[in-house]
Formats: sequence, C-alpha cells, structure tokens
Amino acid sequence: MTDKIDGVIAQALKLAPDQVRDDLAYGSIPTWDSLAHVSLMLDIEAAYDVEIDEDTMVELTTVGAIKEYVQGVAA
Amino acid sequence: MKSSITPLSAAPAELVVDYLTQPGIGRGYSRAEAEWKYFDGEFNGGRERGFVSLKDGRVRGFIGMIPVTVATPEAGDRDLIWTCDWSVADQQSNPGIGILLLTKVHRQYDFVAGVGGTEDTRSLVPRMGTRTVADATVVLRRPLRLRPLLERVEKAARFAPRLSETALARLPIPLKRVAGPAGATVSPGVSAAAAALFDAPAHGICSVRYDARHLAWLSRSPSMHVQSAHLAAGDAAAGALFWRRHHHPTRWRLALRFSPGGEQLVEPLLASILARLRDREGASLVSIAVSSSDQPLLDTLKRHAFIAGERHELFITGGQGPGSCEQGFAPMSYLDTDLGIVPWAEELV
Repeated sequence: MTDKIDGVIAQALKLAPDQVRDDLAYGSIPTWDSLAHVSLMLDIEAAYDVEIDEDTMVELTTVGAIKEYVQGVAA
Repeated sequence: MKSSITPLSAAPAELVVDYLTQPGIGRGYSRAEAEWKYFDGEFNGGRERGFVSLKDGRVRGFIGMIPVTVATPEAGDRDLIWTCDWSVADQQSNPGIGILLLTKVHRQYDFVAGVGGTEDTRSLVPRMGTRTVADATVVLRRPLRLRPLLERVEKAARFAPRLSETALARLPIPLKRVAGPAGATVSPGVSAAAAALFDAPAHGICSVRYDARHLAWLSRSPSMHVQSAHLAAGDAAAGALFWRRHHHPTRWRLALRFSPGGEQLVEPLLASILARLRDREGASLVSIAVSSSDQPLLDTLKRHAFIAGERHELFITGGQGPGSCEQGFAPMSYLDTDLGIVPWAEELV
C-alpha cells in the first residue's frame, strides 16, 4: 500500500521514491505547485478508483494527509 | 474530480463583487466597475461570464470570461473566450482551485485565450496544453506633456528636484506634423463608423472582431470616458477608440483599426487624435497596445515619438486546434482580454 502511494506521489511530483516523506507539504518544494497538485489528485483517483471532491482536494496538502486519505478509501 | 465550481450566472452577484473588490485579490476595481464588468445584462445577453469556487458563503476563486468572435481564414467566425481576473483567495489554503477554474473553462469552450496576466498565469498556463505566443502585444506610450517624463526622472533619481507637480509639468511636448487628409470626425462614445472597423474581419489572418454590443458595453463603463474618431478617403477608412479612466483623467488609452487601404490614413488620424487629446482634453500621456509583429504600425508610432514599453504573452487553447490562429491574432489592441479596462498601477497605491 505504502509503496504504491509513494510511487504515485513520486511520479506526480517528480521526486525519487526515497524523497517522499510524510511531512512533505504543498508549496514546500518547487515541483508541488497548484498544477502538480491537481495532477497528483487525478493520479490518485485513477490509481485507487476514487473520486476526490474539491473540498477534500484542498485538504490533502501533505504526504501524510494523502496517505491517511488513501488508507481510508482503500480500506 | 467532483467539483463544486459554479457558473458565474448561478453565483450570488453580491459575493462575487465583494471578492473582486477585495484588496490584494481584485485588480483595483470599484464595486460599480465589477458590477458593470460582469453583470451588465445587455452585454451578457444570456452568455456565461465566468466560473466561481464558493465555500461557506464566500468566494475562494474566480475566473472571468469575455465572449468575442474571431474571424479565421479557414473556418469563418469562431467564438472565442478571453479569460481574465483569474485568482484564488488564498492559494496556500486552496491548492489547485485556480487550475480547476481554468480547466472548467477549457473543457466547456473549445477556443480560449488570454493576454498578459499574473506570474501564475505565465508559469502555469503554458503547461496546460496552451499555445504561447511570446511578446504578442507591446504597449507603447507617447508623453504629450512634460509631466510623465519628469515623473520618470524623479522615480529613477531619488534626489532629482520634484518638478512634476509644478507648472513646468504642464508644458506640452511638440507633435509631429503630418500631411494628408485632415479633419478626423471625433464623436463622444463609440460612433457607428469607428465601430464598423472594429467588427470587420481582416483578410488572411485571425482577427478578433468587436461588435457594436461589445463596444457599447465598454462605453457604459462607470469608470471610463470613451470617445471615437474616424477618417475616410474613398473606400479606405481608419478609426480609433480612446478612453481615460475617471481616476486618471490625463492618461488615455487608444485602440486603432483600419480597412484595407486605410493604413495611409492611420498617420493623419493619429496626429489628429494626439493634438486633440493634448490641446482640448489636457492629456499628458497616451498609451496604445499593438501587435509586436505589426512593423508598419510600430514604425508609424515610433515616428510619432511613442516609446515601447512592456510586452504581453498571448495564450491560446483550442480544443479542436486553433488552426491558423496558432501564430496569434492581428491586429492586437487594448480591447483584447481586459488590457484596456484594468486600472493603472498608480491607482492601486
């Protein structure tokens, strides 16, 4: 589970898998801007077959929050 | 993605106006201007004018749309959406909302474009499958009195004597004399003769048409005073719209158009307008936005002592491919997007 979401995040944010840390946040690295954020949300939707609404999207601003969300919907 | 972004027509106007007039978010519009820009029923005519992201009774993001028509050589007239006033209230707390707003426009309209914009526009829009025409528009300025020149010197040199508020600043700068047909017809508001030129398609190139409804909307702006001028010789004609904002009565913006063969009339028309603005209206500066690739017009403007200033990119998204419009539109002017509507930077201080 962790490897899969780490891979999705790493690919969307153009990071090496070992750079994906829970405290990484939106805007804290140049590759995580608003366009990359939407792209990441769409990749998560595709990878986990879920639909993320706008209010959830704006709350998923850290890797930790994204992992928690994915664990919830994938459970 | 499930989105609660709503069309502007379904959003509470009061909330949108509150948002667009917020310091740091809007572009300096008054409430009356924001209402005119987006809620003028006569101009809107049932057309959608933007999209809004609303949460808890507040606007958290907005994108405006100005519907126009583009005459294309291969496909006749096509509807085009100029996007403007693209903003998010708090980007850090609302990541991605701006992108969703722009995506909404791109999904619903197959021909979308914008000129200039913010840093976000320049960094994000070219990455969204949009064709970018670098430096498509250039703004040129013609000082008509000493004031703008003195202000520049004072801005550049901290210890320069403050002369821009003295009588010296009102001294007029000489204008170039031009031979040719004299007597441009000047009218308050937008005359039918000038309007016809702005609605005429150009041959062999994509050109944005501004119809009478669009120009009448501009002249209804609560913050602008619009005049028009027209000069004809035989079948050829050149026309212009020029306007000032009430808050900046000595600075004017100008837009020019001419019919085939009318390029010869641009210079006498320009000379006539500059003289009128300087001598009758007390203008100190005239600005014009033109296509960077229109060398003949640029040469004419430089002969009249216009000084080139900032340049703006043109972003075009065409769902079915913009075709011949990939190289941009010609002519470009202050009518494109909302370049000529936004307050001067000095008004925002």
